[in-house]
Amino acid sequence: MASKAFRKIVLIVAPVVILLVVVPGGGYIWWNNAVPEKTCMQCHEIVPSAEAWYASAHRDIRCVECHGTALSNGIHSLKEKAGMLFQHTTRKVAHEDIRLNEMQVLETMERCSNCHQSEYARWNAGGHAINYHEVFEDSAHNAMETPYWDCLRCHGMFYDGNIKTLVRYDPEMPGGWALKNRKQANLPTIPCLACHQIHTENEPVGKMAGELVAKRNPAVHLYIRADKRYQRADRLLQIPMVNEQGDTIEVSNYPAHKLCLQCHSPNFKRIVNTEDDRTPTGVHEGISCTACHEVHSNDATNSCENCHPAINNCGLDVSQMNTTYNNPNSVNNIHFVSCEDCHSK
Amino acid sequence: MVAGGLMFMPCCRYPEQPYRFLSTEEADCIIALTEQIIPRDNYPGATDAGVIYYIDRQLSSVFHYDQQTYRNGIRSMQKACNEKYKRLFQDLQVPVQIKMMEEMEAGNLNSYNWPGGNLSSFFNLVMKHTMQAFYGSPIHGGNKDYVSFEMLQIDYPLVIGQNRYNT
Amino acid sequence: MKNKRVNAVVIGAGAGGGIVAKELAVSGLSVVLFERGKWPVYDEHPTDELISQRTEVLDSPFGPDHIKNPRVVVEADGRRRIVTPISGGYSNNAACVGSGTVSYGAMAWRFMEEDFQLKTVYGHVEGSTLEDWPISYNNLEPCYEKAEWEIGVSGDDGLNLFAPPRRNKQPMPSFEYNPEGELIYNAAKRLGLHPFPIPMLRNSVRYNNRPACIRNRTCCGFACPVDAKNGTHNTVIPTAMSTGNCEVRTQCMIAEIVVDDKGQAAGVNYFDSKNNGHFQPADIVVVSGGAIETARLLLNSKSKLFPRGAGNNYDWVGRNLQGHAYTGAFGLFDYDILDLAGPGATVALCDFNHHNPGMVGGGLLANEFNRLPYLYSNIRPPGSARWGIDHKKFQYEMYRRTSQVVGPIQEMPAFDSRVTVDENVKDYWGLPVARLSGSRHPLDYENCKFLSAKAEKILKEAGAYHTWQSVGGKGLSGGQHQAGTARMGNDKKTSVVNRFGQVHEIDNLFIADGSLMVNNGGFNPALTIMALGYWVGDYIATNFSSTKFRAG
Repeated sequence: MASKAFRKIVLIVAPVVILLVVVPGGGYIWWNNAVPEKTCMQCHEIVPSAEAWYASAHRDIRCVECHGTALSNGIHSLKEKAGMLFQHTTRKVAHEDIRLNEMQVLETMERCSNCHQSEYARWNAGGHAINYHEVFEDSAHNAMETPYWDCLRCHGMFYDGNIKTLVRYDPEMPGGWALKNRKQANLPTIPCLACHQIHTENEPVGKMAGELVAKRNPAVHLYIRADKRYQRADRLLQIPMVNEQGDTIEVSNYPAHKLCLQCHSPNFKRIVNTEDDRTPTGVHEGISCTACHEVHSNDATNSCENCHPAINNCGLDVSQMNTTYNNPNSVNNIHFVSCEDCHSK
Repeated sequence: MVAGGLMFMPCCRYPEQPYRFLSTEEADCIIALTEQIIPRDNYPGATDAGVIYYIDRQLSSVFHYDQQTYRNGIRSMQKACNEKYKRLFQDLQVPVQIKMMEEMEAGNLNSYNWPGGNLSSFFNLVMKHTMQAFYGSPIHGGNKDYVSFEMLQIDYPLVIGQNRYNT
Repeated sequence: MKNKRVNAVVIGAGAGGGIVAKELAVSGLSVVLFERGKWPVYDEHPTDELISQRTEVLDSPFGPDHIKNPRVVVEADGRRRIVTPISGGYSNNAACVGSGTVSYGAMAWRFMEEDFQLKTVYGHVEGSTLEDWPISYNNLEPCYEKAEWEIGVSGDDGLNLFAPPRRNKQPMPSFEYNPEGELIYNAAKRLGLHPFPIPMLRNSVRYNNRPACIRNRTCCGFACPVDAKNGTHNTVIPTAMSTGNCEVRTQCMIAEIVVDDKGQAAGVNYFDSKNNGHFQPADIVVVSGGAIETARLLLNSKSKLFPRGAGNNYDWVGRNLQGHAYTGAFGLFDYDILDLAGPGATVALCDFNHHNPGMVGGGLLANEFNRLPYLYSNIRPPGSARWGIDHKKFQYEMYRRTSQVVGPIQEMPAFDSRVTVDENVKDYWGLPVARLSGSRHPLDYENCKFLSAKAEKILKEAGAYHTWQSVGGKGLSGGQHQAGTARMGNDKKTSVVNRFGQVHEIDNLFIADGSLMVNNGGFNPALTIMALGYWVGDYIATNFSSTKFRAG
């Protein structure tokens, strides 16, 4: 009797199991392994992104590896993907309507760090890994400033709200500024995607199929928060700059340098060394920030060796000269030092 | 479950259609027209800047009230081209296109089977939309990669410091 | 839920209303400040020319919603046309907390003494309702000063030969000239004119705990990314709220002012953000909706004693709609003269505001605010290509080489230039919309020709190789500088309110915005509207406790 009941149970349960587990499970596995044309690209609004991805250096990394699967991040991803499906079916979604929210940007960043480990480590060790707490709850800074909209142009450019939803401001309160949501405190404000667009035309470096790829687009982009889109750094305008006397200063046209200048910017007259600008003048006029500063950590240790003594006018050891490179308290800022600061003509 | 459901997605495949409001043939006509309004020289022109995507997108949303004007305008314009040159506007040589456009602008082609319509005001409308698309913000579909700002040597986004700690 | 009775309802959180609300709240009155829009959010439309308050192509960045708020315009030939904030001809002023003061160019002009007594100075003008104000410049001077210090103005009237007398200087130093301004300044000097830096409601130095201006390119028509532009949204309205006496109720559309059978305002009927209707009772009601919406609300508030609308028993509500006929000239240079630093306008002169032969009134001249690329694509000398390769070449060759000297002509008030309501066209809430009709006085065009000729002369002197005039002054009035529709006066038969903004015959109904202006000056009116806000607010605050403005 027991076996009959068992058979009955098997007969009922098995199809249910097949329906609930094997079909979706199989489908899930198939979905996550199939080519994008059969999956993500079925939705028209994804097509332009997928096409850009095909032209990018990351073309051999599958969608799910960066964007996750429905189950890769528990309830979050399930909700996220269900939301996408819901949006797709209930309203006319266009490509320009879709963008990553801050959580998705940071998840993508984790994927970046899997392969680009040394870049990630260097970024993490440098100033650009600064988090929301460090930017927005710096009491020395906050004693001199009130929060305004444009803070988020350079810090927290992927933040989903605005400065009023991010920061509570009350001059009476200790520190003056406070993050409204403590969960935000430890998130990075300048993640990889601030300067790198992943879906962009870009050949991988080095040899491909036996041929050395000579042509390479710049790897850096500027994320423009105002427009929620990227601009290639090589297409940013070279800003004509002047010194206090109004003389033209030569500025680097190197894409990464132009990118730095977007946040490390001069005043409206474009006078070097005003506001946040550190455009080199003097002996270093015309060179890029990245000639000395490592791009991810911004560290300039031992950077003199990049050019000197190969480039040398006087045969002296430049690293031992009286500049802020050798001694942070020196009067001769390495960004602006000129020969005459130490040597008579 | 959702993941399983996704498997059946291929059934809801959308037909390939690059435009929301315009048909491909209508779009080809507008592309040719806008390219002569802002032609390519040493700098990108209307086609490079994706002006058609701005126009199509705004026609299907904010400018929905201009839909009929476009539909009838294109038809009437093509009728005029066909009568004069036995060709579609987009298939004419550039100098001939420009001549057609000058006649449209001057109001000389207003009699082509468009009751209540007016080809010169249609031309003015397309011209206005072309300028918006090319010189406005890329977020609305035109000015792809900020090409017009680059042409005008406008630094965008604006490079400007924040008066940190000053005064 | 029934609303609790408050001392005052203020309708419209713009230049006038924000100030009245603050004056009442700090004096201890309970206030509800109504605003049909939202709090402005810079991030929504930061740098987009097509959705800016200056070029409303795809939307109106700070409201009102272009689908819900139509208006009607009556053309010269009598045809009625429905307009929206993005269709052109709407006369939009922004619907948000702060209203136009969020996105304005922020010129901070005091009217001149003559502007308050035009009829005395120039005599009667045929076909115009030109009149003296019932108050003088001296009455308003302390209010101007309060506006300058509380809202924040950079300027130095000591440099303006024609500036009216003042007791105190402006609180912040004036701005520098930009390269174009320098050029115009020098040319004007050579012509024996008296140019000076434009006073601005913008921080030249840190002020009121907000930063100094960064010369953002997208200034006029946009909100400020660093909050260095001063409006009521970042000054007096937060002050009012911090007293605990003022509640700002946003996204609320006022349907009517309820006037009881004794002829007293009892409160307002309004729709909240979810479109539910409510009544808000109040001791007094202050209307600050801007010259067009204020007139519309009064006309839509019909009652037993005022069957043609509140304060409209003599048919003066909505009359004398004025704006500013902008007029000037363009000049082309063979070298770059624009640096495109914001806002662009830096130099002005008041030589042509008064006492020019053949002129009644006049207007200031200034260099123009930055023109963004789409706006510039419309600026060409007469006879130039409107499209094609030549048009494009002009765009990239001349974008930094085109100068514009321009100014607002003082319009002659015309009785038939007016706001009425159109019973056949309703807005989203079912309320009859404003209908604009009539046209400017013929003298405005003559005055414009005079001022444009002067502007062209300056540009020629500055070295422009080619110049042309753009002459305004014809057609319908209105625009962002709308004024005059609830005229101040001593006679209830020829005005709507008394010298304190109190509606004749309705003691507890006040108006505090550009509607009060008997005439609109030859200046951008924001600072004068603010001064009127203080004038009306102070009067209410001083007299409230004894009378509550209730008759009998």
